[in-house]
Amino acid sequence: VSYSYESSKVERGTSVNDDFERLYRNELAGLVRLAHLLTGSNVAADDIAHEAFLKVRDRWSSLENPGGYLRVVTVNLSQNWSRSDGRRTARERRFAARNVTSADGVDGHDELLALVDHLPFRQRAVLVARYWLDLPESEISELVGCRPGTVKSLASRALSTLRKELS
Amino acid sequence: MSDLGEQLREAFASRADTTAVEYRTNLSSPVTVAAPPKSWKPIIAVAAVTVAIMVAGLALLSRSTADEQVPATVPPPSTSDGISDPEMINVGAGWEVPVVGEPVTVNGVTVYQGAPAPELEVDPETVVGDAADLALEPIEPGDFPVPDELVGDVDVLVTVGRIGSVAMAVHASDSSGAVCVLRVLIDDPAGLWVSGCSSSSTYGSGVAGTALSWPTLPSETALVVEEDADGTPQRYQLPIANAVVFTPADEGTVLVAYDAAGGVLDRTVRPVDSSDLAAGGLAESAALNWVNMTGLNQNDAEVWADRLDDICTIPVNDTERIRELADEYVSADLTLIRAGSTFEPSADDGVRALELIIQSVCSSKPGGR
Repeated sequence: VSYSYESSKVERGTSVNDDFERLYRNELAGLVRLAHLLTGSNVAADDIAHEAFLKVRDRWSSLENPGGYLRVVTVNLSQNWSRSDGRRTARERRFAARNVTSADGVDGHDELLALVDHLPFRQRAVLVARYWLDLPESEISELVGCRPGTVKSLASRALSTLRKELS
Repeated sequence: MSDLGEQLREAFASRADTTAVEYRTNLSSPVTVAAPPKSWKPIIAVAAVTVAIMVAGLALLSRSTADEQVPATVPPPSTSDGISDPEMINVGAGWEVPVVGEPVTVNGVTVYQGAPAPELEVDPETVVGDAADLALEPIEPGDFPVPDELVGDVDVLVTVGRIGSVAMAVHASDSSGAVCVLRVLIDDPAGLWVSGCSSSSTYGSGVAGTALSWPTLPSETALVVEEDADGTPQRYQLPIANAVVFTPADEGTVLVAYDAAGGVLDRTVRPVDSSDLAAGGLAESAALNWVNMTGLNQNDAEVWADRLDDICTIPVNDTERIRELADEYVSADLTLIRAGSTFEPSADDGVRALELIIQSVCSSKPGGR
């Protein structure tokens, strides 16, 4: 089940705590899955998603679209995680790849996912946004933090790399 | 939708189905994974070398400071996941560079992996607006192709990363204490360029570019942004091993160093000496960029003079047109691949080369952008 963009728009009630709790319950699973796809690590994804919620809670009163902000923060934290330590990231990916092999091998997607995991982050993010979140280009550009034209370029490079590796 | 697109949908859904989600009752519980090991206290002082002309510019920073704690000889503490925090190594002549992990010996040279800068506490776009980063990916020490020319002369290399098919490293040799930038074609170590040396080096196939130093870059630098003459952010990069690798830019370009919180630490003008471009000739400069980035030995000045007439009419953000030209040129030059080379140039390599040419060469071309 893909993460629903529309579901990220939260109806605000009278209680901040209730609103935040509702957002947390509604969106956590989608955010963890998004971070999992972006990092290749379920463990990292869980913490990244929770850190994103902490950031939203801190800025709750000033946010008009907490769900959208959550998603952007999750992408940025995932990118920071990917950048923060190349060696650790490589190790996490290898670990994730082993897990993925056992979990996804039945469906035969492990090779493709492993290739996606090795794409540069922004290329990976564009693919996840396009093929999992089903976002239009304009929203992908906001999510990834680039110009709309760059989205097309990043996707083209990513798909080209994948086709080459798969052939 | 393409078959590959459908495969991606299925693959992503497949992984997402395996995602374990744990709801927490106390959201203020410490979150640890997203934060990288940060116990390294930047102890470095700084020196920088920025390379201007042909292919890559580099700002290097590094200097010893007596008033900060410098655990240069103390083994770094291990974090819970087994990854060591960065440590400082003295690469000669007082230059210190942060590295991580254990070094490996390649071709008789001790190769370290450069450590990343402190993690940003802000989103880069809040600092640099709509800027795009210059992709610099880490490279493992064992994957760095140490050219034979360095054997016997160089003792230590510190990897900075890779841009496409080009590996970058900071180097220091015991003999001269030179801190240089090395650019090596990953699949063809014979393609070695040396630039930005802090003192003269005795090897390599020539110095590419003019070295411009930025000796006061603060050690707390977590982000370096390139601004144009109007102060508009253009690109940014996160330093690795106290180095950033920027392609040449127009005269008047300013590099701005930010700390982890997004505060401006310092800024310096990084002029590009266009007289060097003129002396070498625009076509020759373009050819050098092309050969260096693609491994295709097309250095015919007439060919490049014609190509520049097309290239220099394209805005650098017109990615589709750049890719079209890159495809055309790579196809045309494929027969010129170096003899014995195992390097296979791609359209992406061509795109990067053309982007570089537009930014570094066209600005000096009469009527160019």
